[in-house]
Amino acid sequence: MLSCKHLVEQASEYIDEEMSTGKRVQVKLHLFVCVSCRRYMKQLKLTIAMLGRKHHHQAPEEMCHHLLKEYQKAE
Amino acid sequence: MDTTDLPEENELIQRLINHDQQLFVTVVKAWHPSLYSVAAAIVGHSIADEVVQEAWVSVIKALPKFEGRSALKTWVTRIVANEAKNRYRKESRSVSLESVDENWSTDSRMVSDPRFDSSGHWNQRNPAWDIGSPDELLAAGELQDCVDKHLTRLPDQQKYIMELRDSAGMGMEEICNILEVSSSNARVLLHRARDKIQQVVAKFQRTGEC
Repeated sequence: MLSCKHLVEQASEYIDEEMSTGKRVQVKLHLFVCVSCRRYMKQLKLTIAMLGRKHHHQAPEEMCHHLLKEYQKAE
Repeated sequence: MDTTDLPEENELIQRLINHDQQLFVTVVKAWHPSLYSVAAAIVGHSIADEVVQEAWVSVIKALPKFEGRSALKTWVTRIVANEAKNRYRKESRSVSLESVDENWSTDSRMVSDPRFDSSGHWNQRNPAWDIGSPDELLAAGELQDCVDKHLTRLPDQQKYIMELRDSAGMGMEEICNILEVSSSNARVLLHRARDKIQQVVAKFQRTGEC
């Protein structure tokens, strides 16, 4: 059976659905019996969701003005 | 402004070609976070805004000739990536694409991961977190300071792949093309970065310390 360490190493592949069906079944079986890995998987998903909402760098106003001028020039 | 607020693809292209200025600014703002991530991944944060701006100038010139063979955003993203690569080659500074080491996938840290015993089982049961949603995580100020601190300490390549994938929402194939890394290495690096941040949050949950 897949070890906890190996499951953790493959967790992103599982979450991103980039895993073969055979491997996926192995992971699912492991998760069914292992509470620590179930928690890890849930925590990693939460971490990824958090990262997705962080650090959204906004466009500087000055850049928007400059680009709008360029866009107007092209008309 | 969210990308989902933009008009559908055909209307978007037509209105931009027809010089809808308000829409143009909206698109520039809506796409900036992901375009910035692409530029920063190649040339670093210090000139990423500048690179995106230059790329948009090229986009404005080329827009009337856009043939629609890919989604407009994909096309713009490629122009940003090309602009960033040209800029990188000219200035040879910041992130080194050549430093993308093919041996990255050999992860010595994972081999001796203190979380697991010699048979690969957890040394201690992995405790559940009190926090159950991303918004709750984001609202925890001290925790976010701690996450930010560790994000800056991640090796550049790990950080950039994670930014492109998890912040900019790009597909792995596109990321590999932009950063010129193999798919297997990109996956290893992405997971290493995510796993590190999971451990940071887990430690904070467990001990209240960064």
